[in-house]
Amino acid sequence: MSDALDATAEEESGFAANEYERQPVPEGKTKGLRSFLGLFASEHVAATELLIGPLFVLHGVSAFDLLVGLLVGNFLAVLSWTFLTAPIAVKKRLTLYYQLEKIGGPDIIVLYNAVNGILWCFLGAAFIYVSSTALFVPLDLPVPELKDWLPNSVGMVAVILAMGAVIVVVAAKGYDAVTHFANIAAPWMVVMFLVFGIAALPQLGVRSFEDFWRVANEVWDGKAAEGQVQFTFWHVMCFSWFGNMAWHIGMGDLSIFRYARKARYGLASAAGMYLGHYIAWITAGLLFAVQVKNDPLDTSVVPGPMAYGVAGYVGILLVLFAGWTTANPVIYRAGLAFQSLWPKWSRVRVTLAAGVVASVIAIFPGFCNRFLGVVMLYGLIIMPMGAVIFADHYLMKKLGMVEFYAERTGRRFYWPPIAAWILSLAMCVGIWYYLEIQIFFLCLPGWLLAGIVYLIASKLMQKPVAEEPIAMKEGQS
Amino acid sequence: MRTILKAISLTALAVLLIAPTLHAMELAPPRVGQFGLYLGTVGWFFTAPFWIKYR
Repeated sequence: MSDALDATAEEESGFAANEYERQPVPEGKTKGLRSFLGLFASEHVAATELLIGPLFVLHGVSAFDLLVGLLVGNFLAVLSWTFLTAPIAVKKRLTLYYQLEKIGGPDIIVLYNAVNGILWCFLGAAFIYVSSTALFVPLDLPVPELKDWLPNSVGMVAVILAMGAVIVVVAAKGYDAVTHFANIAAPWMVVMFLVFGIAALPQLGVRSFEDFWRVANEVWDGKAAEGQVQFTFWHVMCFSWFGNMAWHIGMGDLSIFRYARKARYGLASAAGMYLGHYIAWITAGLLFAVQVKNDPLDTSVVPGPMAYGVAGYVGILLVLFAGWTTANPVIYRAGLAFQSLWPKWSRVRVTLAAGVVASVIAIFPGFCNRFLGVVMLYGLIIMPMGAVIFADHYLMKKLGMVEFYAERTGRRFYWPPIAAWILSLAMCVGIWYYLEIQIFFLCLPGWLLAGIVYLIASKLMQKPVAEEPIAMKEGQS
Repeated sequence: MRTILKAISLTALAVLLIAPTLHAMELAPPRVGQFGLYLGTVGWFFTAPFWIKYR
């Protein structure tokens, strides 16, 4: 089933689907730098950028902290892809799932899929919510306020559930059609994010660069809204570095970079980071600033009306498409992940069930109003497996241990990766609770702890093994 | 034919970008910016599906 998940990721990206799931990608099938530039540029300009940009404003980021923090944080993310993810991918040319299976055994993949499936339901909910907000303007629905946890009208619930139903049915039955549409819409979406920024500037009174800096200091004024955590340079830097940690230090993009001719193609991630997580976050912040300028009491983070205020119905179209095209693969993947737990269940039904869960979560605006924390939590939960893969690849042999231990010993379940996962997360919770360190700063210590726990547990558990991998033993753990 | 469609698509994207820029620089009224958004969007979605490959 993990193979199917990889195939999904590849279909979205235009990389070969259903190929080399349980074998290294042959050298002749690798791709050039341009493929990776296009993939990252389109993949990281998504609907949720329209939530993140305004939330930075509400968290009281100053203009300097935002511009420089994003510059540095995104640069560190690019370095993480280039020096941590891509080298392992190019060396082994295997998917994350297959590598994890070799390290921890097939049963670990079942657990990994279950956790991923649940998390994807939450991410899918955010995309459904963003898409639904596109209809708030034509239907003249009242927007939920920043402090609202619950939906504020029956109309809002009906629109979100209806939008969720359409997205989910299409994800279950017409996944390919939307993926094809996403391919077509991607370049338009990238340009539209630039247009948002350009169109917002005159509305904010910007006529020159000096104006821009003055207005930027008014928009990102360094004062957090009531009830929001005050953000600093370090928050911005860590968020932009670790916002995608599931894919770089969490090793999710091994499945993509196994097609790279050279490890330095990891630098292609800069296209996604600086278009999606720099320009798009800034322009989304400007959209929010226009909304607040027009009505200082309106601090709601609702992408549809914000985009309409700057770009009219074309802006609404962007919100609709961006939400839908990103919700589609996420809901589909969630369905596949759950189906791996019960292979006899119909894929369509499981996808529908996952979509229903995502749609129900989406009706609570409080979830999306706290999206920055949700993103960090998602990455934090998934990332320890990346540390395990990193430690297994680089350190096992150097420390006199055996890499791919489950495969070498024919085990279905090998404890150290799970111990690393659970203990590192438990330690992160402890750091957060007792030392009151915010979630934005837990990722790096959590990743290091996971790697250390994995190595120590492996040292305690590993025994000498035969040179060649032996066949899997049923029920052995 | 494919080349012509591709040229139209890319022109549409350029219109999408340039029209609001002209308005932002006070070289064109707001309706030019808004019209450019519609024209660019329609131009893109009516031509790009014919040449963007689905791999």
